[in-house]
Amino acid sequence: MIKIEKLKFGYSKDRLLFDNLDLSLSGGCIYGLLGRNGTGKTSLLKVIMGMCFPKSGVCKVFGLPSEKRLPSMLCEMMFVPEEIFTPSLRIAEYESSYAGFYPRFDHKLFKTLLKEFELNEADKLKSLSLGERKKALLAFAMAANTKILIMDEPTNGLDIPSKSQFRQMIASLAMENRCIIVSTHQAQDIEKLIDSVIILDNGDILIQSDMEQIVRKLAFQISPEKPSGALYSEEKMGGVYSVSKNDDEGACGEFHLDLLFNATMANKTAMKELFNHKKS
Amino acid sequence: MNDVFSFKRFALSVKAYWIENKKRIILKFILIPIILMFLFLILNSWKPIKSYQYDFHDEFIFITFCGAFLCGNAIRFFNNYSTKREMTMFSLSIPTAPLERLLIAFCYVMIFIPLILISFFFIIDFIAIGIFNNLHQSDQIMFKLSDIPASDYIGFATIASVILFGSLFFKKYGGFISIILIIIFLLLQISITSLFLPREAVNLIEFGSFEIIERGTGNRISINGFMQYFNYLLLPLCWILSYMKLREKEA
Repeated sequence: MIKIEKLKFGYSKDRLLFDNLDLSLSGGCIYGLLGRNGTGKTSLLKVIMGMCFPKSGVCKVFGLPSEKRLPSMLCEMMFVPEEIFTPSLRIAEYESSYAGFYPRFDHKLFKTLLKEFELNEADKLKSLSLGERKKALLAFAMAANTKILIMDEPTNGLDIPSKSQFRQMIASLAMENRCIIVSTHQAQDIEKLIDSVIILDNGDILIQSDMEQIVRKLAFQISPEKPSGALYSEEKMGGVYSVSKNDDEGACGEFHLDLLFNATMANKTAMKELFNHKKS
Repeated sequence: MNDVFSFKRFALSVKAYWIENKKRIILKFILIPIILMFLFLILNSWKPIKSYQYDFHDEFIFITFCGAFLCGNAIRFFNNYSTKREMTMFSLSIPTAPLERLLIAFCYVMIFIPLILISFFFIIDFIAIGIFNNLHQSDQIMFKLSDIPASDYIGFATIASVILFGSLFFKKYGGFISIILIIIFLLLQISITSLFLPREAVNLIEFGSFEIIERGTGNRISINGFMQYFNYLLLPLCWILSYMKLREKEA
């Protein structure tokens, strides 16, 4: 569905954010895109959406270069950015203005989602709080039923019940032919949701792996003391949480996304080698 | 799906534009006749006028108010692409083709608003002439639809096209930067003309058209050849460049 090959991208000629980045994303998967601030998560999403153009290399969406921004391509893509813009319209007017551009827009689902988020169609978008506006846009994005749904920090600004509702809704949207990308630095928000993890660092992909592979290759443990040979450990309530190489390759321990992220940041080379990523 | 132009998408874009801007457009419909009436009354009652002065006031109002209004609309139209990044991202994510976006701009800035403005202008002008004729029984004015030359409109359309392109080209305040550039461009044209021609004075009479008062004789010679045609060429050129810029626009 999305194929990035040898992508070079940067906002200035001297400093490239991505240098020969390769990435392939397929349908039927919820991808969690993780990375520290400024590692290029939003830029990568913008390149996929065709809002930023590669310096070289290609980013193909449905087999076509994303920078072409063809309407046939955009009507199957929905992007909810971190910093949202909402026109001065009521929610119902927003739906009536923009739903027509998306051929499979589900008006019934939109109404249901609004109800679940406790929003009213008559509400003026500008008079809503940031969290409420984000919920309205998330409801619209989900109801659009596009093949690609990209969300940049979707849980920012959402309260605790809304985060939980958001997770349930995303889980219910996962379909065989749909590719959902959730970029976040709040790992715990999407931990139970994602099928595959992409960890970005300095414009490079450290890990791109599905959950099955991760729990086969890594052991997540909680023990009274730091286990010997642990790749990473941190003391928390209830013991020492650690990540080690899983030598017998059987599923081991409960997966913790934030632990995986911290372990990756602490052992970049080792983790990259472990997940056999081609680029160095 | 036709990715270059689709009537369905164009109709959807028009609908979205109308829903988003209907309050502003209706407000314009209310304000335009009020302001025009006010301007006509103020200018005609400022000092006792003769019929020939009325013609001058007519054109003065058209050039100042209508010109400013048309340019203001052009500045606002592609505002979404040059003010805030999130607005640009929102606009670029809507599944429409550049040609459809441009056609809406063309229909709205170049046809719809001028048509409304000119219609109101003539209606108010007709009423103002009635008032004038009642006040000055001895100096009657005949209402003429052709008082405003088409070149005035073409001049404004050219300026509006430059502004639209500028809004897409410059990252911020594109419309205002374009107006400043147009003023500099016209001043340069006047300066260059003044350098090469023997004259007492050079007046800009229309967009790219000059009047030279000949030294010695005092004859008025109007020059509306090369410069004017060159300026009018900007109109199609800016639309072509705007189309290209819309395709290349990044957020």
